[in-house]
Amino acid sequence: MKRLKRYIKLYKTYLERAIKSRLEYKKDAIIGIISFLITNVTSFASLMFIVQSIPSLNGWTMYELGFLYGFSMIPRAIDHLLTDSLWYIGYWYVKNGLIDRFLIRPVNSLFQVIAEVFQPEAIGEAIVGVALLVMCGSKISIHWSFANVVLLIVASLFGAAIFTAIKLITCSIAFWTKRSGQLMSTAYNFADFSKYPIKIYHPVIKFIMTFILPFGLVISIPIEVVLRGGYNAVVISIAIIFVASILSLLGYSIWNMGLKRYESSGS
Amino acid sequence: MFRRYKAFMKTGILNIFAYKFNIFSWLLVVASSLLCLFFLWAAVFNNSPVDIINGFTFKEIISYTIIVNIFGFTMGGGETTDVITDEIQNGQIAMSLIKPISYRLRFVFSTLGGLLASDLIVGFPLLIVSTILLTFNGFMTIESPANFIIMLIFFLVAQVIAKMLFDVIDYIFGLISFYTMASFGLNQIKEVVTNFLSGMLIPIAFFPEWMANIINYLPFVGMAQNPALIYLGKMSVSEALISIGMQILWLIILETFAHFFYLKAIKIVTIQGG
Repeated sequence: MKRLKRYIKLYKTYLERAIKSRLEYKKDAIIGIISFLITNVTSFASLMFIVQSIPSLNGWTMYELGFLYGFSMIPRAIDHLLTDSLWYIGYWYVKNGLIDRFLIRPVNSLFQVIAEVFQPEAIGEAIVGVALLVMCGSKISIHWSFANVVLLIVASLFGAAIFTAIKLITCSIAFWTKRSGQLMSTAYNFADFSKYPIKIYHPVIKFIMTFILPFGLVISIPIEVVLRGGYNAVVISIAIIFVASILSLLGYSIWNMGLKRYESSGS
Repeated sequence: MFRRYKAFMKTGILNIFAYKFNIFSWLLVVASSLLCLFFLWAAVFNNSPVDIINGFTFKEIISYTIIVNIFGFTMGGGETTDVITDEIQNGQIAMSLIKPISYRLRFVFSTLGGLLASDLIVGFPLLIVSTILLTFNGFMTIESPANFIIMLIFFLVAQVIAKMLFDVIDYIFGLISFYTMASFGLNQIKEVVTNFLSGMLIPIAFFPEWMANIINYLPFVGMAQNPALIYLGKMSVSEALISIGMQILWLIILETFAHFFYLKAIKIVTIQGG
């Protein structure tokens, strides 16, 4: 308990410092936010341009697709805001031997790595996501039952945890291979598949999306439940929490195993 | 004149070969996004009451998506903005400006070198492989070899001009850092907007009519969509010639603008360090 308090206090300090260091270049941060906003707006606009020529996409109307697309940004944005430093691990911290400083301080190393970076760009993603949810959500009938609301909250938070866990697992592989950025990008970009209804994919891809890289489980399936019913919201919520915990534990153990193998670079 | 800049061209080539590109990672990411798009387009055409949407059949749109992505690879990796920003930030710009060479031409040559290298190691091999695969599976049709060769020549010309268009825009963004000292965020915006308006994501024919009418006259269509359509034989000879003409016109306009911008920017340049 005392330890938890200490970590919360530490996190606050870290966060303050991280925000300060980003705001030193205010213009840069704002342009970063705008650039992520534009990225997501253009890619969503492309989807709309594609589907406007057809009556519906496997039964999904434009607004429903927008709602799904908007929701897909939420867990991603939370993860992006808080844990972007994991990319540095996969791309160059391990390779260049920059992990040393995390090892010599009397605080959990993974905590330090994650707390060190705060990425305001993610706000650009969040804005687009929320805007789409509100705009499209108002045009379609959603079953706003208590269980469904809980499901969406669980899917957002634990979904973010799944994004983080997948990044953690893939970045830790760098301890064996020196660099794993490419693998990280590939796994992470797979999340793009969940921007569209899971029904349109080949069964193999559906399987991967549900069980291996479970972006579909936290994005496509909850939205389908909220819009169409079909699965039990409580069961899906529990499944998401379960999978998120397993993946996080797995990520944390691989990280720890990797740290034991870590060698600094020569210089 | 060429001799003076040959060194820069060589640097451009070597950059690509040495470290700039992580081809393997690019391939993985693109393959995954192509796979995703494949299913999206398949679902779209399955749900469509007609076989041709905005002038594209399913097979044509898949061919387009593949070709435009390969094309996008050969267009990417321009270093001009980064180099200018870097020189501004570490003060090296002073040395570059006193050398008896044109600051602009130097980038033109290293960019062309880069295009040559990325064509040789990735662009052409991938184009050949995908053309064979696409034609073999009936996705792409080559009506006559003669026509294909003409279009191929047009495509090569269009590709060089497209790369120059990319480079002049990079150059203009680089010059902005004379004022701002940094360019990272702006650079990203530039990339996203270019991707969207050049038809890299979807062909402009899918855009709402009023938007398409405007975009078709902007320089961006000459930076991805039109060269890809030329390659795919979706343009007649006269359309291809008009497209190339438009590219050249825009190149002249942008280069002229860049030149005057440079003359203005050079007056306020701050030399850091020293």
